[in-house]
Amino acid sequence: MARRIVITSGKGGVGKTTICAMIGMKLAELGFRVAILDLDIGLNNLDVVLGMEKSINYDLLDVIAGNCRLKQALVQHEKIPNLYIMASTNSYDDSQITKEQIKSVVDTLSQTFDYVLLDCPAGVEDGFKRAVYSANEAIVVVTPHISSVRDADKVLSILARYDLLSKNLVVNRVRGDLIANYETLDLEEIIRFLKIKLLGVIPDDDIITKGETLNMLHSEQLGRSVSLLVENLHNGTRKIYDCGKKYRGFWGIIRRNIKKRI
Amino acid sequence: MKNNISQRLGNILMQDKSLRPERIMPVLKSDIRDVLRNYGELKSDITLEIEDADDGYNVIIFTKITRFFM
Repeated sequence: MARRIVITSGKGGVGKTTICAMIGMKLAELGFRVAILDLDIGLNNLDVVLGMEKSINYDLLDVIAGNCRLKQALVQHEKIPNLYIMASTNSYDDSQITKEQIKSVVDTLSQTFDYVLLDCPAGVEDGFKRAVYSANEAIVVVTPHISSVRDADKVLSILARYDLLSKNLVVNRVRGDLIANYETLDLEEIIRFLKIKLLGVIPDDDIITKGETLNMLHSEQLGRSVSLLVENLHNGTRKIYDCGKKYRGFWGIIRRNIKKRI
Repeated sequence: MKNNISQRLGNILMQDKSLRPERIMPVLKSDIRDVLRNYGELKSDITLEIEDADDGYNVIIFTKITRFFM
């Protein structure tokens, strides 16, 4: 049976889909069979993030409506053969999709994959509930901003109602220079407020902004941080990428000052 | 600066929780469930009651559990 992990946050724009894609790519590169299900109905972007938008013929709604078989809606990644995605629908009307139907799809996928990742929509409404209902683990993504941590706190109080095996935290878009200058929340503070186990830290990187998905894992800092995150996820280790390392000490102060002026 | 951001977040979270104290219930239930499961098998759902008291709240927990594991 696969591990079914929902990637959620509450707040939009924190990088759920990107992190979902990166975790999926890394796990698949390590040899695990991974299926990612885009549950952001109407605002689907997982296919775009993974550069697979041209390969999508059927989507989740087609599977649920019986317009195609499940296998037809599963699209294999061109360059990472162990990675499959099922796109969400473009239709804005999600009223016809129930949490039981999603769970049934996830149950079927669980039989043939090692990991089923569920890309959860922002918010805490029906879409969120549908995604969490099918999962048995959760990853909560935050950025080091007050609004994001506040929303994550609310999401965690809702997740407590579900019988999840684990809830872990990923802090995205971390800038070591800002932490060193005390201009943003640091990781210890976020963990202290949310009281949840830290699974990984993803540094702010231009590659993500540029949308160069396939290069993400080959970037030195991004690749290393995702590797550690996935290692923690799979093996239960607790190795956290140190985003602030190069901004500490004498040379660190110089680097911070240069970055401030740019 | 660090203290300002951290203090502001702390205040916001505290305010959120004090505005809707019932939101703490599922979190409490989940934590209590996790703790009790380490000691025995739960035989019923967990029910929580929060009573106003002069100096805060009384939190009353109702649940049924098998004898604690030795």
